[in-house]
Amino acid sequence: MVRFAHIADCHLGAFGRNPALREYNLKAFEEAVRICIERKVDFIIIAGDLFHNPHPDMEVVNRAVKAMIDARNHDIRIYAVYGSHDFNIAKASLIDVLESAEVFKKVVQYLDEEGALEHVEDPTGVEIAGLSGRKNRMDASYYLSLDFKKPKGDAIFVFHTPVAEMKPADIHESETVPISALPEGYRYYAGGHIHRRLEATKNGAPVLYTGATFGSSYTDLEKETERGFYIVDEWEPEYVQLDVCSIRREDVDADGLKVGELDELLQELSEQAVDEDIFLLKIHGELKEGAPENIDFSAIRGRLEESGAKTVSINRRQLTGKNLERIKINEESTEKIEEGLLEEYGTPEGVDIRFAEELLGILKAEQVDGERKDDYEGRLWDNTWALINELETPKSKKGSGKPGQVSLVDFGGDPK
Amino acid sequence: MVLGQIIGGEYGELVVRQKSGQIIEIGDLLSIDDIILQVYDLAYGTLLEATDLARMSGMQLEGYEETVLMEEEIRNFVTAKAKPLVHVKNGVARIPKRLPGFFGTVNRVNTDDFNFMEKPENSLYLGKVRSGSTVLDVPVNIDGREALSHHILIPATTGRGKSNLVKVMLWDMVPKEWCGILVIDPHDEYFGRNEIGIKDHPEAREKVLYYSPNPPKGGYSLRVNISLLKPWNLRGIIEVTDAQSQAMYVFYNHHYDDWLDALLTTDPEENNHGIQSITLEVLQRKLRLALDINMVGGEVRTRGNIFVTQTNNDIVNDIADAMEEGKKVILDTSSMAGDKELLIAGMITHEIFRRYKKHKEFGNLDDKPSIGIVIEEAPRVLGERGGRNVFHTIAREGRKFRVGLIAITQLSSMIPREILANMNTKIILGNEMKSERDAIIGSAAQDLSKDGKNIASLDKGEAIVSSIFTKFAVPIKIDLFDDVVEKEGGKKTKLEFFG
Repeated sequence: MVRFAHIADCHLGAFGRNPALREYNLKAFEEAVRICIERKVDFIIIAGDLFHNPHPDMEVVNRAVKAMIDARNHDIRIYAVYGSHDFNIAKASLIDVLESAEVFKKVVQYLDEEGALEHVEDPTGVEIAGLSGRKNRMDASYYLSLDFKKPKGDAIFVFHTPVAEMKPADIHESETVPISALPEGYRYYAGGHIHRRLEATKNGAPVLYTGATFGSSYTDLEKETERGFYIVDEWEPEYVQLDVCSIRREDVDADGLKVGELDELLQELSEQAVDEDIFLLKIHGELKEGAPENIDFSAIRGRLEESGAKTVSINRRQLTGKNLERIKINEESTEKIEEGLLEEYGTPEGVDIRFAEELLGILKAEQVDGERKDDYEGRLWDNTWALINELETPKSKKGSGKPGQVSLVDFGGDPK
Repeated sequence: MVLGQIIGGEYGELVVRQKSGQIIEIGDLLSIDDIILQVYDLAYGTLLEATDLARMSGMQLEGYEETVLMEEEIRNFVTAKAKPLVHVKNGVARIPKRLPGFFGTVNRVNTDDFNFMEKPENSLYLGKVRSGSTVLDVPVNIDGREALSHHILIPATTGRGKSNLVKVMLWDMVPKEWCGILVIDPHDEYFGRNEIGIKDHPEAREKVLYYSPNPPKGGYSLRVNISLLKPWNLRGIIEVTDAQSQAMYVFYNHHYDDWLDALLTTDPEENNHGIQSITLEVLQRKLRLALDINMVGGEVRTRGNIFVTQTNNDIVNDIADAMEEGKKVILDTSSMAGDKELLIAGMITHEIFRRYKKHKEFGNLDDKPSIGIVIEEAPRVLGERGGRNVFHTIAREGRKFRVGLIAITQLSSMIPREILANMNTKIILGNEMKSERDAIIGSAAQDLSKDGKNIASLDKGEAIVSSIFTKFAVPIKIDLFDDVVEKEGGKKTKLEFFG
């Protein structure tokens, strides 16, 4: 008899500029672990993106580790793979540190000589293998290149990659893997990366995405209505909803309104009592007259907060005035807008757009509390150099960048 | 080495006497002065009168002593009719406008005669220059980005190497980012599910997507949510009357993405959109039949595994996205009835065409790869029956939006002349049928009026490329796909694993 939990996309440390949301996010994870302890699971699978970035705020790490140690103290093993946010191209990321500290075990066991993926065996006898996710789906080719060793008994495959046939139409992912590329012979496929609960089967075995435990962006909060994880009892998955706060979503269609009319509408809305913890206001459309800048959104936000909301988000990225230049990008998240802009305006000759996106991701890393400016700059510099090395020597075994730099291929590839 | 001498003729019809001991073939390329000629007909010539020939033949046949009137190599010979193909002056190729010198000696061409043929920036490799049945080491590349937009026609009868040619072209295009390709593959022969194919290209894993109702490892499931189907996708694919067509649009206007469900679940007797009940009833039956739909308890249920209701993803947009990224998408439609195959192909084609029209409107078309849609048995969609379907539209307007067809057919004559003329590159393989040759010759980019015999005599793997992107109609020999794979396939790099 085996019972385990499948958790993914916790993105701990997300909402760095909004303490309330950051706290809800952490609470959701803590609640998930608490339920796992209460339900006496044998082990927990974390299918990537436990943290929102490879070097999260130490306070966030502290809370996460406390929760996981609590689980370990209840004899619950934890197994994990990298997510696209956990991955650090230059050097060990926090997930490696936590594995070294035996907080959990990474289940990506690559055998270099054989080009094969090996299993980790849990004391219950269940075999677990996994593949980590990489930013911009650089991991997708692994699915066709690797030799997946066929499990001998009941087994779980953990992945952090969008499966094409399951990907909802409204989620844009340029690189996916087909469901046929997932290895054969597993009894459960534990997915991560897509922030929506999705279910399919492969040869009768469930292929599941849990969705996020809370979400990592305002888009998640706006669009995704389910937050939770699976508890799998005797191979029967049961979805466990995580409701650490209440959310109210208001959608205002401003198409064809004059700016004064929209202002009036928003005033009325902001004067209502708000019972929910999070108030998400989305305004979209093209104003018939006037510019969105003429509306005092900060005052509206203030009134909503006074009315009871702990945090308010006003999304007006799709609100335009008549005289504004036409925006060709219809994406809603910051990452997608950046991707669109790079596609729109291009990159220097010879520079792949994925490289540019990854570089942007590195340079966006914030200075964490207590980190000296020199260290922070050094971190950005190291990561950037590593990326450039990869661009210059994509097929080389040794990086050729800054002296003393850890070679890319030295990182993370050896079997434990 | 001297091959012969010009002894007469006129522009476009030069007569060359073949030197004894030399052999001239139909299709041979000859060089004289700065002009390259091509042989299109052969005949015997003799210095003797007909009565002398009859007498000599009679004596030989009846066992008399052999009569010798002149030296053998002088009295009888072969004459070749040749046409000027190209005039090369100072390295620049032009259409010949003068005759070569009378009595001038002609030679076989050699590779240096083709130094003017350059490799374009966005090259598409087709084969090597062929002189008769001799292959020269001169690669033939056309500007693929332009050629794709202007459509490519591949006419041939069975067994002349159409599939091999398409595979060679696809292989060449796999790594090239200037083109996104959709291959509608009714024989499941290009990807190489069980044999060598495009999957064996070193970059296939990153650049080639294979969709099949029954995909092998790495292949994508070809399942289409029927909610993605729009009335215009059915145009020219399923035969409907004007009234039935209007009924579909009425439902679409009222129910948008749910139009099909609404149409199929509406009681014809009670419909409130002003559509006659008989029209709706017949339309429902046609759609159910075309899409393998059963009505169970008043709900739409699909019984096939192609059109389904239970899938989340939007395969049409996914494929269009991939093509815009310069990927090559192969659809295995081998298990589908013809109308379903064309319906799916039409949905994807419509979406990519819609996007490219938008790109033109926004002024970013030049940043996008050209799109090529490979379609077999092209008259199915380009013939008169096709009416106003999206393939027809692309054949007429596609080049303005960088969307083109690679149309393969045995029956060019079934494609309207206007569309044939729009296909500005024709890779002509062997064809015995005069009516088909005439249709091709009549719409070629160069004057092929004398090439009837030449086309009829093309062996397997031999072709003539007539294109507005070549200086002349180039005779080529297409590489054998198996040889290409043996030479270039299998260059897999060792996996560098991260994670």
